Amino acid sequence: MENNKTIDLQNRKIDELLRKRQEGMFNFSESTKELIAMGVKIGKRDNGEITVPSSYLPYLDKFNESNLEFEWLARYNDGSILSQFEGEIQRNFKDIDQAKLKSIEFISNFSWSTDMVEKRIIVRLNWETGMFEFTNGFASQEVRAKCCVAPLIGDKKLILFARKRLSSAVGDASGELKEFINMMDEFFFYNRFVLGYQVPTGEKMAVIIEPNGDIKLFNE
Amino acid sequence: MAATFAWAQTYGSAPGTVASLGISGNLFNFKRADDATAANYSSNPISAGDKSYEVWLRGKFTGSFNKVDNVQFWKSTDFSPATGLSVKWAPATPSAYATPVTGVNKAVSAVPTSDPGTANVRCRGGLTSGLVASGYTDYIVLQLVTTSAAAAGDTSLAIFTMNYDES
Repeated sequence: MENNKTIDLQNRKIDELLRKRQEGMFNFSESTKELIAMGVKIGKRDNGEITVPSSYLPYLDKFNESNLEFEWLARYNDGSILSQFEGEIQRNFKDIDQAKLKSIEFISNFSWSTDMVEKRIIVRLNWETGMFEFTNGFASQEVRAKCCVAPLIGDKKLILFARKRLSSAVGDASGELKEFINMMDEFFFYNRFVLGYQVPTGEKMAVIIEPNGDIKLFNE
Repeated sequence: MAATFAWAQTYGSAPGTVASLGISGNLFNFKRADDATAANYSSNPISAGDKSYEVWLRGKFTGSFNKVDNVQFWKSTDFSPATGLSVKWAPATPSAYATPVTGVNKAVSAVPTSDPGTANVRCRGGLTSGLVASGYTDYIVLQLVTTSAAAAGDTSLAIFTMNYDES
């Protein structure tokens, strides 16, 4: 048989497109998996679905209206407790009386299926000692060495905020492309929670709680 | 610490009309029409070599919060392919609205393509002012600038990101 240049070229083109397609599918799957593992929420406007790790699915309906994975709870030295959310009441940073503070913690904003009722403490900052406790958060030895051994000396000013990131897609693809995969409708959000304190020298001891429960040092 | 965020677009002759875009999905498209719908871009196309109308966006924050600040904006992903396409913005993030145009006006610099690290969107006229009550950031003015190399048809997607601190 004779070689036919046209047929060879067609085969090469098909192979190239198959490779591209396969790479695309692999990259899509792998990057989605990694995003979810980081705690990035991928939302779809058309059906309202949010993609989270499968282990989180039972808790989705318990997220509060801001989709916060964690909420803070302040314990005062007179034994009283101030919660960020209490029924219809929502509190924020300025409602915390730092002079009375005994400890402040971030707790999971949902119950866990293993115990049904407990809101787990992820991080607790003992305001009296300046030391952190990582009860259910995943903190590395580096973080523990920095935050659980030697406190910063001096009057403390509370650092407490959420850093929120929201990404939205702009643009569109032609109808022929949308037939195969509808990627136009996604948005992505990612919350990080920062807890710590600053002393008069300007030094800070603070941690970032990632939505998947990982703890990192806040080093701004 | 439970502010509610939504994108808002102002369009039309100054002082303009404010429309809430929400947060999800394809919120707007660049086109040769000055309105607040993503739907009619195909009937208002941008010819290769032309510019879109400016899109005047703001972040709208409502609800209970102490402060919203450190507002950052960047383009996370570019159009793909991006030949002949660039999105410009007004890095000064003006606090006063001006009627959108298709010429060179406010949007003169390329939008940052990575996390700027510090605030680059003003609130109440300043980068450190933030919001202490419900309100809007200053304006993020975007404009799609094309060259003759831009391909015909839809642009594909670009992803824009807003990042802020809330206490």
